[in-house]
Amino acid sequence: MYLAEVKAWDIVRKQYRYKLKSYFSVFTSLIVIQLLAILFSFNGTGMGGGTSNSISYEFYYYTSDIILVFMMIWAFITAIIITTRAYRYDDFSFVTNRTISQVSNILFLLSASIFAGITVYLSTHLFQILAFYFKDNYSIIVDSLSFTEFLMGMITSILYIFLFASAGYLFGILVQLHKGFLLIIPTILFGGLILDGIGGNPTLFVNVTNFFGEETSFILFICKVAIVSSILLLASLGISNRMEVRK
Amino acid sequence: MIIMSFLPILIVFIIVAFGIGIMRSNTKVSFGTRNIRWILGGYTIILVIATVISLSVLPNYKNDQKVATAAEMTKIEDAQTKAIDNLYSGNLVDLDKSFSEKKKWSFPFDEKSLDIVLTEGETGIMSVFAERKSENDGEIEATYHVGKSYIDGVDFTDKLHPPELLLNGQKLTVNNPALVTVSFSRFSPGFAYSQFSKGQHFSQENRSSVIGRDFILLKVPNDIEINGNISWINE
Repeated sequence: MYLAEVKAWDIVRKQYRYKLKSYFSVFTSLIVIQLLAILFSFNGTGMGGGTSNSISYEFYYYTSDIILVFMMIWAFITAIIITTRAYRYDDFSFVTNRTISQVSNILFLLSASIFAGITVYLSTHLFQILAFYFKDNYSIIVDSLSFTEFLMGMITSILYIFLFASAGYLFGILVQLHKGFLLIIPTILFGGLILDGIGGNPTLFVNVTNFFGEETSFILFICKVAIVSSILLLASLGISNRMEVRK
Repeated sequence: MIIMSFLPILIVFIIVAFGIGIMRSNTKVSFGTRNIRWILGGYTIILVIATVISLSVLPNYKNDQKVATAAEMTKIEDAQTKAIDNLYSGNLVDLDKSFSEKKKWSFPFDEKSLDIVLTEGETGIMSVFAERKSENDGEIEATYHVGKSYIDGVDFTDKLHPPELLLNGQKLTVNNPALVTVSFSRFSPGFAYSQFSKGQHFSQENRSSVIGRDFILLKVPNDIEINGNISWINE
């Protein structure tokens, strides 16, 4: 019996709140990267064209694709950053254990992914309106969204970002476990891609991309991201529990 | 242009360097929480305002017509090719299903023979088919038929110009239509928003184009002789 009964979930909540305030600086990089993505999207995110007997045509796409991809990279890097020593040692200001610290980190990454996913949608409107007013648009076709499409798209964006955050988190934890992983993981990753591409018919990257990108069932897509993210985060949790308290 | 092509690589390099720099520094980059809150709040407000403007202005340019799917466009293209093949074989089967009449001409004609001159313009030479009427009514009827044209799933058939037909004595000149240039910007949600919209208006699978075939069909009096590069129907 103690004077103050402490529940694990209360500490997670407190740490999560603390981390929201303490890791606030990662959002400045979100703004910078998002503005860069808008700059890159400004000339169109895709184009097509052709000529036939009677018609010559060209069209430009203005979509959120580049912004979303940049946000995935941002989430990956942010997840790595919060596993670094400077951030980890902050946790010891609290009564905590490894699991609690990790869970609050994961909750923070989830919140950051949600914020990033929402701003991807909003910043797409910013760049589309900039492109509308400042570029010579011969004629414009706007594909609008129904509420369901909007909701599904928003959740999909958030899940893609969270997936990358989970991968970044595992990478960060592995690097914290041993600095050698900083070299080993990129070598395996890029080496694997190069070996895969040597035959002239790369399948690894295509298959991984298609596993998520070609999924047409929304529910199945959620399950896939949830399962893969859980595996990545559980692995991070397992590894971090084996680490020394202050390493 | 060269600088622009290297810019993405440069930016990725900066992002990676930024990430590695932070990881190695062991210190947090901080502008002060209060300042960051102001920056983030200001940025969010700008985004919200831009979204409100965008949602109130851009829908005026909304694409109201149905966008054809890739499967529909392939079907239309195949039907046009089949109808043209039928025409070269000498029959008019399924012509109305695949082609529409864009322009009609009618010329009074009382000569014994007709010389057809096809002018080669920037758009090539027009295909001309001819069919004899059952009577000698002293009139040449010409119809310009055009198949549906889709660019990126959007119907642009109406933008196409008809050719010019001039009858001078016994010489009928067919001037090919001027080349139409179509340029447009398409404001679309990204792949995350189109992934589950199979067959919907902005789905990735709609992104292909079909340029409709076109030709002129002449109906000539029964007994006249035609000289020129044409194909006969029902003969």
